[in-house]
Amino acid sequence: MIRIENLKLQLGQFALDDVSMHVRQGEYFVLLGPSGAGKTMLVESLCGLIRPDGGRILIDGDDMTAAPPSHRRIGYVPQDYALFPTRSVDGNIHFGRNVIYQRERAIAAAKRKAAKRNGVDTVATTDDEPINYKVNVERLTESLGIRPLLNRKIDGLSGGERQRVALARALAAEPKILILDEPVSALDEKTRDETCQLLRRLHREAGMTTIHICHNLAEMLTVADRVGVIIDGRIDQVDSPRGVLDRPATLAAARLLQSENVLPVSRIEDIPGPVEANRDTFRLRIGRTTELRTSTCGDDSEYRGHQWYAVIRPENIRVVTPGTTVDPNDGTVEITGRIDSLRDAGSVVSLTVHIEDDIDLIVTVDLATLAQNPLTPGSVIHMLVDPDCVHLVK
Amino acid sequence: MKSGHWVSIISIAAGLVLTLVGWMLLPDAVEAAADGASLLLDPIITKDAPMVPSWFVTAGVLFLSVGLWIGTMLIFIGKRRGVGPGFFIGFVPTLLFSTFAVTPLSLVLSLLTFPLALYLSSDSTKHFGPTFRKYAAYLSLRRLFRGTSVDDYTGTKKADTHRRPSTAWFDTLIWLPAALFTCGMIAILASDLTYTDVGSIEDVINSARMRQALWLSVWTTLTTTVIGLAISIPMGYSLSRYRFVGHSLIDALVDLPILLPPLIVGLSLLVFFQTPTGRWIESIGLSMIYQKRGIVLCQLFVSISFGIRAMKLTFDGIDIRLEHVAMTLGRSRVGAFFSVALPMARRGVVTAGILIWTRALGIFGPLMLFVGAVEGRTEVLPTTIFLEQSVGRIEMALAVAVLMVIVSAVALVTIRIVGLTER
Repeated sequence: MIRIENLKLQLGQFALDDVSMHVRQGEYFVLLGPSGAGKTMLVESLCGLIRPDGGRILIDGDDMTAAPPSHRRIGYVPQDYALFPTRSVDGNIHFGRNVIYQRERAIAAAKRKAAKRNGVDTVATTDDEPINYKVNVERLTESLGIRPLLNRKIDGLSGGERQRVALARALAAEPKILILDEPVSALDEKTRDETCQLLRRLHREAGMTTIHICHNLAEMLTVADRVGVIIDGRIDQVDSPRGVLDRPATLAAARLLQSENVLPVSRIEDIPGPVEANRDTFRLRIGRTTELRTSTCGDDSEYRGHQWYAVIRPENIRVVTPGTTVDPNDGTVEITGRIDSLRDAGSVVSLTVHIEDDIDLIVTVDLATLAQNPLTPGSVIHMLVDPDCVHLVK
Repeated sequence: MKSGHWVSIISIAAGLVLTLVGWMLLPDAVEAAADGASLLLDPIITKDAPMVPSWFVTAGVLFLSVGLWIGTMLIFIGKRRGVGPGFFIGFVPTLLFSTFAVTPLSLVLSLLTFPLALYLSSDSTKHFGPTFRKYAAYLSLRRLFRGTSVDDYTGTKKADTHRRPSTAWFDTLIWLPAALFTCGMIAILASDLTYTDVGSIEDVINSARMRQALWLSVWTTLTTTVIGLAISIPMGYSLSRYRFVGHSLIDALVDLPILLPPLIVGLSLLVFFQTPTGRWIESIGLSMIYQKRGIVLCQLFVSISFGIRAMKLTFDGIDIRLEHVAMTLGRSRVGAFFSVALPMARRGVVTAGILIWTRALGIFGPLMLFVGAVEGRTEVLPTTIFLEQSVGRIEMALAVAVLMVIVSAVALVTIRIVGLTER
């Protein structure tokens, strides 16, 4: 659907460096990145609002790199919504609609001309023929809940209302692609959740190819089919939401995704470990003595000469009672530590566990486990880490 | 009721009585004294006028001033808006009364009433807060009339939001220039009106020569406005939207005609048409010097900077992102400008137009140099004022001036209305 090839763009201190990515038809694609990463620049060049220095943009297989914005049929909702204050809500929504009207009329006129030239003169194509709109504005405004606002002025609208009007304006122009630039970041938390649900529902109903820029993890998890992580003008990773969360591609991505446990590790090569029967795992060391294993990396040659980090999601660390037997062939390692502090996070309790020196692990425990096994700061606990859940980044 | 209120009420009453009596006695005395005197050179009340009635009026105005002043200050302090606005509201009528009604003495005396007014309202002007409680009687009276449930004693709440810490002398100093400016403007405009009458305005309108000057003024300024806008809108847009080498230079160049004395523009134009390029322009039939189209050229050079400046500021305030969105919605670059930027700039266009027009209407100096002041040919309204005044027909000059003041006032009011209505 949308294919970006080796896009390069330098604008002041912001730069896109050789960005390539692919968004599939009907997909809800989230572009996740910290501020200043070049997200807005990327979508603006997609819309044709900035000319890139190099690379290609293909939409539906056509090279659109040099096409003017009006020919791309991309519905763009910028961060501040950019509604037209001189028009009413209805006027805003119909702004792009008029273009469809003109296009359809032009097609009809061309048809009439062709028919006349061919001597078929009674073709029923007059100017009175209804326009073949694909999007029904009435239904659209109804579904966005902005029906009662149609005659209002833009100035009096709340943030959430503006957001929905901007969305309706973009959709009423019947775009092939919808681009939302941080659509909810200016809204309060409640409206933000509602809007995310709304976006998801709209996407389910219409199946519009959507690119959604955000820097918020919860927002990304709510809406995304696939996620592209963009950091410092480069796409670091494209994966499913769960995928980027569990297996961030780089250290920067891990930090962006708020991975709690990012620990510097070194590869243990000189210690011959027990031979794993059925799993190909590597032995790692965090801190001075604590050993970890991972099964998620393949080739070990690329691990030389770099500082590596292990990423473990807190929910993947199992807290067990002492004496739980561990299958030695499984590769699961047992780590012992002392609880530093507990933090109630609603449905789970988050523990900070001191392992050694300055190494702390964040572990989450659900309330049921906590009820069986009361934990207090200072007590020693045992944890099991599956090598499948230990992910390495550079 | 505080003593200040009684002083205020009694003063106003006494002032009214004295002034009325004075005015009733005055006209005969003035007429007697002013008989045969030149309208311009002598004040209304000449030295020969009998002193008694004028002293009556002086005293009346004095009382009236004191009463008004104390009254307004008390009301404003009661409304908790501070001494400053109270001072302002009291000062302007006081000063104007004294200026127009009678003698310089009353002016000085009425100014001296300010300390009195301040003293009489003093215990609340030092600062608001606990002293407000002393106003219990006044405030309860107000409550009686207004029926509000303000908690007057603690000074908290309700409708009044203008309750800010304040110091009387600071407020007064801050508001003094505002009061002087207002008085000055009202005084000079009002003196125009007092020295002219409906008769001379009628004379102006009935005179064929004046009508010709008026007509010439109207069409040249309107042409200037149209051409000026046609240049200002694109130029303001280009300066606002694009950054390029020499941008700040052009930006500064725009301000140059605003800073330059207009006379220099006229002189420079005159010299320009002596250069080969200027001669060539004249030779192809576009002669400017001593021609009517020269008036337009002059006006354009003097006034267009205001239009460009106004349009640049307007477009600076319109986010280019809106045009970008319009383009993604199917508009071309041109379409985005006409469907989004220009409608949003319409207030700026009106302002720019009025600025160009009023400035063009007022210029005179460069016209004298460039097109001359030929009666009936290159004579516009400011030229008329000059010509009439130079032959001593001051009342005709004034009548034209009043016409122009009215025109400018209408333009100003239009700007305000356009500026204040929603965008």
